Amino acid sequence: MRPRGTFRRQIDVKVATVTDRLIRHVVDEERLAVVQAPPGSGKTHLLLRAAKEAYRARQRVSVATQTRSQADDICRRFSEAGVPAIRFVAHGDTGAEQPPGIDAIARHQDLPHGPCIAVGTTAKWGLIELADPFDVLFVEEAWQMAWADFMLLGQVAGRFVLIGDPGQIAPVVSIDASRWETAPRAPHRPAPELVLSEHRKSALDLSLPATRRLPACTAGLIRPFYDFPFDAWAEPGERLLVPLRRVAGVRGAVIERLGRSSVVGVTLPTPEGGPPLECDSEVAATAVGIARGILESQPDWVMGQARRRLRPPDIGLCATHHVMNAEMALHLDRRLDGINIDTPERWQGLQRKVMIIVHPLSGVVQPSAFDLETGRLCVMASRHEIALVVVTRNHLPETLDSHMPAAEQAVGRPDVSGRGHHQNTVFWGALVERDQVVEARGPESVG
Amino acid sequence: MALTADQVVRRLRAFEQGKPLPSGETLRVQRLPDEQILILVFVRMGGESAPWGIAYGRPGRKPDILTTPEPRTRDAVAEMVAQLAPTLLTHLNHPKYSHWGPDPDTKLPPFQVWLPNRSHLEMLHHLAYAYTFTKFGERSRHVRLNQLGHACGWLFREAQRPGQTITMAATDVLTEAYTFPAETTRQGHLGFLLAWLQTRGSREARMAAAAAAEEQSIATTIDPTEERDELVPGLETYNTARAAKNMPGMEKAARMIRRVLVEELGRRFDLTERAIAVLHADKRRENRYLDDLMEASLDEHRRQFRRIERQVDDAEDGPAFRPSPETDRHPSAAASRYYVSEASEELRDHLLVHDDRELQAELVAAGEAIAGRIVEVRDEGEGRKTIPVWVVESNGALPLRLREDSALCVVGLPGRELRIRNIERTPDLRYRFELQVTKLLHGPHDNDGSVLPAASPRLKRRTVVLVKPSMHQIGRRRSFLVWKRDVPGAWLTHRVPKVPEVDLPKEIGEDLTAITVRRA
Amino acid sequence: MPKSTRDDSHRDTRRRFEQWARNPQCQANVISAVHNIPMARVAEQETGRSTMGQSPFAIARGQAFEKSLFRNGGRLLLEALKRSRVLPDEAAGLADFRMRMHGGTCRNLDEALAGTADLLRRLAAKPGRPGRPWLVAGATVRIPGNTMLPEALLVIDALGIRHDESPPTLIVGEIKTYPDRGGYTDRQELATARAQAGVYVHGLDLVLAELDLTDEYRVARQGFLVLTRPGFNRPSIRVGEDLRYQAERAKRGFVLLERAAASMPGPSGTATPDSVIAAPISYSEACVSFCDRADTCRAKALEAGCGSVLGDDVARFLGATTLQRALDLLAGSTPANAAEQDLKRRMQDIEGLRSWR
Ligand code: SF4
Repeated sequence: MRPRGTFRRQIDVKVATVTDRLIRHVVDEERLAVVQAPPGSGKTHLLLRAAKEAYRARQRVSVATQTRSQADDICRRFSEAGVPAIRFVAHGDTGAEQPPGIDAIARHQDLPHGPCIAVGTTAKWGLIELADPFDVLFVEEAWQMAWADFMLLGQVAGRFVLIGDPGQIAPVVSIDASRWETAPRAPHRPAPELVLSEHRKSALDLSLPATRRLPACTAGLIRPFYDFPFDAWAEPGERLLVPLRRVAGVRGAVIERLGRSSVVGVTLPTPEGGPPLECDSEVAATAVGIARGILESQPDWVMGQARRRLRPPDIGLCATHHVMNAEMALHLDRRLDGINIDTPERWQGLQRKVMIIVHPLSGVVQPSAFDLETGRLCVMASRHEIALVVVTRNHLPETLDSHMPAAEQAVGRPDVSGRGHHQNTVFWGALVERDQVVEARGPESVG
Repeated sequence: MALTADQVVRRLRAFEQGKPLPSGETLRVQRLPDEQILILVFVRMGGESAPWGIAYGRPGRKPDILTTPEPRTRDAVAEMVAQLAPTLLTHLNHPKYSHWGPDPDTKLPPFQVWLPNRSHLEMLHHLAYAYTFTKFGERSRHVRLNQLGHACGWLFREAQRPGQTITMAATDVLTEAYTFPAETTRQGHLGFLLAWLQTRGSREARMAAAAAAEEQSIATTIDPTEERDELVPGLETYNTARAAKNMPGMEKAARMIRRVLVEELGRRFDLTERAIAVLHADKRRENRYLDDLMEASLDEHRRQFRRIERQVDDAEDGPAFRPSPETDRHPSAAASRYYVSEASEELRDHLLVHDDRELQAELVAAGEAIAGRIVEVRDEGEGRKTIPVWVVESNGALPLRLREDSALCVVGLPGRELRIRNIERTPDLRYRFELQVTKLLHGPHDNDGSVLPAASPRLKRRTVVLVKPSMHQIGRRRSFLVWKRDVPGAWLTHRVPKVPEVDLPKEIGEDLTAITVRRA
Repeated sequence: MPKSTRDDSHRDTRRRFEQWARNPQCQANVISAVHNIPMARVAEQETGRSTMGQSPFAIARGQAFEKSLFRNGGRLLLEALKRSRVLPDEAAGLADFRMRMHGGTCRNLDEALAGTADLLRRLAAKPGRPGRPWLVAGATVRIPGNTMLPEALLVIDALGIRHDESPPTLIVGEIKTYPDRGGYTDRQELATARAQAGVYVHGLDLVLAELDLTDEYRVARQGFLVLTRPGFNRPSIRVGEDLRYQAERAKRGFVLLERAAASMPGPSGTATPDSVIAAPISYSEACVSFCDRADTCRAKALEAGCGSVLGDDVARFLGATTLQRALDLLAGSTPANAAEQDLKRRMQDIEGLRSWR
């Protein structure tokens, strides 16, 4: 057992080092930095700090985000930190209310010529022709930005800081991109991938050392989804649900196992006639039943020094199919008021104390390459701070075992199907190995 | 590409009825007069990528047929392919061959090139590889072959651009126009599809006819038994005669080989003609937005083929160079073409839907559009300013990929745009959208009164279909902007990579340095 | 034109492994693969008609291409591999374990097998030996265990050895005659090539362990493909082919196959085409592209109402529900279980939209 506190201090030191190095890099007007970050590791915080220091050093700072809500969120956080910033908005959005200290500007000609911080979406920055470029451009969630979109940002500034989480859902490519699969600068690939493949030596290549959001066991479980190592800031066993009341049956078994590790799997038997593909009422009822069971045990959540009673708004539910989410919503009652239910795409960037998710492969007995992609599972499995329950039909291990993924990628590209299959197998296998899987007979056994 | 749920259910219905069913309310392919169509079919030897024979011509006429006895002789194949060049280049309005002259601003009539299926498209790609940059053989021939290579490469690339209307693989056209009750893999066979369409009677009868048709190859390859029984002996005789310099023997064997190839090519040509005839006989009307797609295709043809063949740079669309058949190695070229492809998809998906209720239903089923009823209309404007807001309710069991802030427009009135302000669930689990009308608040200038102002209370209780407006101009603009390389970040974003020679040998790679220099 | 000469090629099991992996759910396919009963023979017995087989020109082209690569001590391929940085500039020397009939030096597979093992041992014993080969043609290994009956032999098209790395790295290569068209290169063909290369990687791992040479070599998880340039008679090398998961797939596949082989009654040689015909089938869209029995099995699947006769997407959509049952549900039948209920809802949502229009 490592000495409590030492390890965490080491992480703090590493984070401080990464932050210092990035700030120095930006203030010293170096050209390129790439920061890879595991989920919930404080990447936006890092971006805000480095951007603020660059601004203090009298630089003109631009920030590109991939969605409007990310841009709004960054502006809100600048506002809270008392850092003035500009929200570079779409025409027609100038009227929207902005937090204190934030100005909305739509025309690039109106952007200040002196030191400032301007925050806009990649789409907005990419469509203008700036006469007066910025000194540095920070890109948030850079792994969700395609190379072509990044090319258009070449006119915004001459120096770049790309920050993101490589495990999240990749940019959607709706057209046939075969022609560019072997291009040296494939326009549809995530920009940081190309930047790193060519500039790894000359760029400042950093990664944040630990997830702050996720409990220690979860960090171990999702690490195979990433190509770089990271730890959890939380000590093993330090984040807990402490139930006041005992509950019986499957729910009791789930709660008991959550006392040992942060992730629990719950399986339901696969019916004779095969599992429902999209809308599986029993699985939906089970997921909600587990949420109810957890609340009925009246647990406190404990995170370090903080300890509070768990409330419905601390719980999130997530399934990949919209109808499944609707089905789960049907099972909610007033006592569960405040539980949020949504798709992984919508959960990106959010977090809850407890997440209950329906495994994306539950019901899928013949997985396609798309089904095997782990971006969505990775998002779903990295939203919780204390506990994660994964509900699935019990065909899952057998489906994975008998499936032979075909490597149909273009020449020279990575085998994403094989990788997805492997990651899914490792993820579930780890739960089985740790005896963290509870078998439920049916939703009634969950209550 | 996996089938959508909608396509699956349609396939089930086709199975139930035992015959192909029309897909879509309208046809999404233009039926041009025969003079504007060139049918092009190929056969090749197993294991080879060069053609063994080519048939080409207009529908309803006897095709011209070119063959060579020994397709492994590079020179003989080049000679044969060079003979195709004048017809193909004239049809494609190459500046040096076009009846309309080289002026890029001349408005050209629409045209199409039809091929039996995708394997014939692949042959265009092979020809592009072999001839776009070749310097093999006598100069006048390789100049012509370079033109033809680029023409084939352009046709192949254009075939991949969503919504294009020029390169028509007959199987793709038919599978888009009809739903067949069979596995996707088998639907690449033109004879199979036509048998399903043209056999009368029960499901079993059609199925049997389709399975029988499938026995004969329509791809560029020839059935192995046919090769073994007919062509191997012919070729052996030919090569023995050639080694012995026995001219009459060679000619006789060549005739034997040609007879087989002519038959093979003829069958593929006939099937393609029949596919065109099937579409002409279809009672559905053409989607009225096809003209816009044809315009877009002709615009691409002007910029990406005629302009390049005339060696004219374009401030927006890049310098004139024949692109590599494999990929776009120049970063701006790659990004620009990528954006054009995205913009084209956007245009196709958001244009045709306004004139096709089945397409609307597909979009709704995929969660990309809303079909609902206006339950409330209010005006939040003050004074003379009007801010029309609609509340629309729709089926909540459907998937929804639209988000708050998404822009939409009204089907049938594309100019009227709205923005989703809020999405909620009603207690009976319907979706409830609050939408602000942002464009065409009052109606078009030439409003004859049939279009109500957006804030009119009379709109309440009307059903509406809301789809995404086309943002293709944005993609187009990006495709232009990405060529601009005098930008501060160009050292990272626009640097032309040093590609090792091995990646693409000269004969199949464009000259990157030249492009960069021209651009500068 | 090659005459059909009796040779050892039927002993090479990689095609059987790949045949199995295309449809591991089909018991008939498992028996055919494990017992080496070619489906063409089964189909012929079943229908009385012979199947078309492969293009004679394509076979000849494949052999000629491979011969050209290894001619003159593998000069053409060695040069191409050096240009692509698979091998360093200093690389030279070919060890040739191909059969004589294919232009090689071995009389039969046993000789190739022994030669390969001997080479691996010798190189490990004297790593710096001058004249060591950097390229091996037709390296042959036997997979331990009873995966395939009577034996599981793999013949590796091309094997690069990087002696400049420590320990020396073995890099698996697969030779194919189809054209390299960049991102448009046939994806299914590529998948097959990678699956085969993955089998080699796994096979090499096992054999090195058996020879007690695990620490003496590293088997690269990235391989290379040798394709042809369309329009030119030259090889096109594709490097950095990701084989990590295909090797894992092979490992898992061998375990599953061994299990299947163990559960089959009778020793090697007892299964006949009739055993294959009698075994349960599981038709899928993939059958069309690789199995000679596809027509027969489709007819059976149709009779049984399997959604797969309308393609894999339909099969996936219907799950265990038959076609007729799905149509009944569409016509208004009451669902009998949760899966049917879900299916009915999905279909009705869509049909509802159609009626709305
Ligand atoms: S065609 Fe028949 S025997 Fe062959 S794999 Fe498919 S189901 Fe099995």
